[in-house]
Amino acid sequence: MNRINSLFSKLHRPALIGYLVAGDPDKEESLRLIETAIESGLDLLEIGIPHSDPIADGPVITEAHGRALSSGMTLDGLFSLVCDLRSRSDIPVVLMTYFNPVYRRGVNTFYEEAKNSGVDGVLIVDLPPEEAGDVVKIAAENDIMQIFLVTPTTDEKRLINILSVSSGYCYIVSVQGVTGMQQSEPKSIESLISRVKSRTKLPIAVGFGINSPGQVRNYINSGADAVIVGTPIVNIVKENIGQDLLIHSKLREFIQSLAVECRRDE
Amino acid sequence: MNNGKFDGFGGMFVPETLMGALHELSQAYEYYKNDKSFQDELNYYLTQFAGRPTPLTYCERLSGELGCRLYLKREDLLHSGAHKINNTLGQALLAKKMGKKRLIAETGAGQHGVASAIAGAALGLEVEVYMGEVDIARQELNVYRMELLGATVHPVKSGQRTLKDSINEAMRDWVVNLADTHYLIGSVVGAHPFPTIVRDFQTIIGHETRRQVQEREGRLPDRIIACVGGGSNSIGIFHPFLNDPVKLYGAEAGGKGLDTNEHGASLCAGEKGILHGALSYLLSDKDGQILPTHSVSAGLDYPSVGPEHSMLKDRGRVTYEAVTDDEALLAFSLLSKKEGIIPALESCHAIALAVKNKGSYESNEIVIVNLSGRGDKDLHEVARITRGEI
Repeated sequence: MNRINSLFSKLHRPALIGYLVAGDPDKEESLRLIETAIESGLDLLEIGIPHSDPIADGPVITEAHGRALSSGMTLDGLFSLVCDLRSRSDIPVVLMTYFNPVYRRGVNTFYEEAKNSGVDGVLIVDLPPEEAGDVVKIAAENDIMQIFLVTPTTDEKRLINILSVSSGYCYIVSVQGVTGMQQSEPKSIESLISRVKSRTKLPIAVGFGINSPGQVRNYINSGADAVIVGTPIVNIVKENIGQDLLIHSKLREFIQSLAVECRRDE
Repeated sequence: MNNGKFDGFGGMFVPETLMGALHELSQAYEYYKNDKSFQDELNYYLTQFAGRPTPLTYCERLSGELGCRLYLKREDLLHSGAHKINNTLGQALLAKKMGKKRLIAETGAGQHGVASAIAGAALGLEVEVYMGEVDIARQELNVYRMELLGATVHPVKSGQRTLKDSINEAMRDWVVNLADTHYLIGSVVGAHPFPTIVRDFQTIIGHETRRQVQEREGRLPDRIIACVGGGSNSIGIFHPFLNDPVKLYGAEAGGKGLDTNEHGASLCAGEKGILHGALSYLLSDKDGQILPTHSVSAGLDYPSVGPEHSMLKDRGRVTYEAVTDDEALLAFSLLSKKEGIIPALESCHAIALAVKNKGSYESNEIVIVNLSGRGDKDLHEVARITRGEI
């Protein structure tokens, strides 16, 4: 069974998903940071593939993509990073990417390489279901879950369409904006979560703009099966680059504080 | 049309957060494009405010030199000094009908930013323009123009800090402010429905040209030449002639030459890829990272191109050729001295292509070059380059 499905079927509590950018600040340190994050309580790891033009990302993650590319991160480097990680951990791994790197690699090749290096899911930020026909088919052939975004502006018709091609989990974007933006109306997310829940058996993960244990708790109370934290993790990396011990201890402390909220009801 | 596909090019490759807004825009546009009062109002602004129709000028001296009958479609004479205003008036009016209060736009050299600021001022809409820091430094006067017209200019500090990065920032702004904001994109690029909307607003160039050349020469032209960055002025003049026996040529930014990495010729030297919501020819590396571009003309300094051009290239309907910075600069001086018209550096690429084709013209062949903008904005840059002050 795919590690994502296996996680959600075994886990009887909300899952904590963390996002880091591959190669930020460089390949070796990036792998060490990922391991620290996993040890601190992540249940699932999203790895961002750095892109020159990350239009759905706010300034913090955009800068991280820039740092990773400057450090020489490539697709080959990314897959070898996932292989290295896979030799030490069984955590489900989802690649979060823009479409051009996948398209230029060749969709078939990309998914085969992903499977061979131990990737469990892929989320292509700028690939809505209307454009995803071939990709969804190829992902399925490689036993890779294809994850899609649902947003506060997604109407009923699109929601049904999105869910019909989704696997792994459904990623609800909690803010109408880019990654790292602050929350506005938690109430509307609660109704969005229940709207999506009524239409699918897929686990519901909520992300974009979550930066505190309190918010993690709020989304769990609103019915989320998982919360996704990206920008604050990347921000810890950004603010502590070069401070070897501090960067890991701060990351550990932050992720543990979130993990506690996910384990509270165990 | 299915999600705005042009033989597979184009589409809607955007995050889910933008899909609702793109559908809203599609629906509004489908309604208003057939609404007579909308078209009448737009026509009022185009004629009484922007200065349409623009002349089709016969070039007496250059015609003799090139051995053809050379005409210029004078978009440089429009208010704001370039064809951009055809689109900004159209989209601003559409945005107003949709109840939007705020326009955002990206700009490279500042021409589209100025044209957006003008349209916003005329129609009473707030305008905010994203402009790369590098471009702001190169085009100080246009920044002042925009501010004078009441617009706010936001410096863009990410990436190469030029046009591409300004589009990224404008898209990020739009995602947050969909409810009251329209993204007034400046060329036939981006996700559906933008390439179609911008093209439709620019085809007035081709429709006028067709009427004017029929009146003057009693027949259609043999060739039409236009420059291609994103590709709005070129698709605007090409489109009404696509089904006619007229040879069409697009001049891309050859920069320092296609054998260098410093150019913007996505059709001549790019591969298929996705940027800003559309599948099109694109300058990106094997890992899918967008490559830096270069052109002496900021308006052609863009790593991709409108998807309809990619279709026209693959169909063989339009011939795309690269014109270098040096060739464009020669054309700048040539048109100024021979015809008394100072052209925009973008348009110089089209003139240079007409010059390069010298020797291939049959006698009395009618050649039309779309003079998409005037060169005032480039005087400083050209002086700097030609006087060797680099």
